[in-house]
Amino acid sequence: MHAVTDVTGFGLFGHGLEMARGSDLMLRIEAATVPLLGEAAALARAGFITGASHRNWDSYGAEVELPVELPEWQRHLLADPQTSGGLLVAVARERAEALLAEIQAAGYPAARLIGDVVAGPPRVRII
Amino acid sequence: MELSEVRLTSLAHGGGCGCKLSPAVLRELLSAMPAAQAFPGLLVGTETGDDAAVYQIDEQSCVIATTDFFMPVVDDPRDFGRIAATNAISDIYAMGGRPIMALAILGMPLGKIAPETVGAILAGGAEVCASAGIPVAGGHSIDAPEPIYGLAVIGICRPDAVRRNSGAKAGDRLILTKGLGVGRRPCSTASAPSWAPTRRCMPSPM
Repeated sequence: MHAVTDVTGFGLFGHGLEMARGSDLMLRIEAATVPLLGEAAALARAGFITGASHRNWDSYGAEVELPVELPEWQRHLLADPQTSGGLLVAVARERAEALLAEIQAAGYPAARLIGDVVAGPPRVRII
Repeated sequence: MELSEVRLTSLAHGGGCGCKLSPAVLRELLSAMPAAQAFPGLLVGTETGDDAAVYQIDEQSCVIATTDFFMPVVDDPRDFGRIAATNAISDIYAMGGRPIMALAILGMPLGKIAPETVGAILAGGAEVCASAGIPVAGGHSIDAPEPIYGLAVIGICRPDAVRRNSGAKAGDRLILTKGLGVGRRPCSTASAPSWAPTRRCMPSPM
């Protein structure tokens, strides 16, 4: 493991940006692979949006690159404040599958590989 | 209404990590702070927005310190205590450390909340600390306009075990260990926090 951070109030974007800035690299995240809580997508589609996800986006949206086709509800989930959220881990490519299996076996079956770290400006790019 | 029937989330204007100041507001507030004196032992301070502070005390050991507290995110007081404590301890793990003890941080609107509700919040937090193998070794409590609960947590690790949020390398893969969406997940319709759905989404471009 090269970097770890706790995803909490600033959402996945916000804590991902902290990792990108600190590492001076770009985080490339595949939106479709990001795990969501059971009802979260349906509620977000229905328009239930937290005030804090607006505040978060307003304060760092300029540093996040989104595909034009990304629906608004999905962007809100990626900026959604997490209370006691998961860990975001950057791990060497060859160790990634084994570590994921270890995390899932330790009681976190929702854990997923969600992207990678690439050379580039310190931003978060959603693909 | 009996105090014991008051919904915990109705006493707070916001809940959970959604109470946090936005990154932009926090940056502005911290920019007014005088530049800190350089402490050679301070391996992780405020510069990188990391999860916890790390101070190396000798060649073998570092102390990790963090605090997290917020207003109720659910109505069940024991669950609120458990969530707040889990959230606080997690920062120690995120730095690569092992927690060793916690202090409770408690603000409660006396007269608006039943003493047994406060007791259940504390018990929930203590339960999580026990399962993490650490004592709640002290704390501080005040009479406050809204309920607040959380922990300050101390952990330890070896200097070579510190895991910053800033050490990612090109080519690394990213893992997220839990699903997103806590901000909008009502436990049930009856217990959905009164503040939860704040705004309708704009029509999606798709």
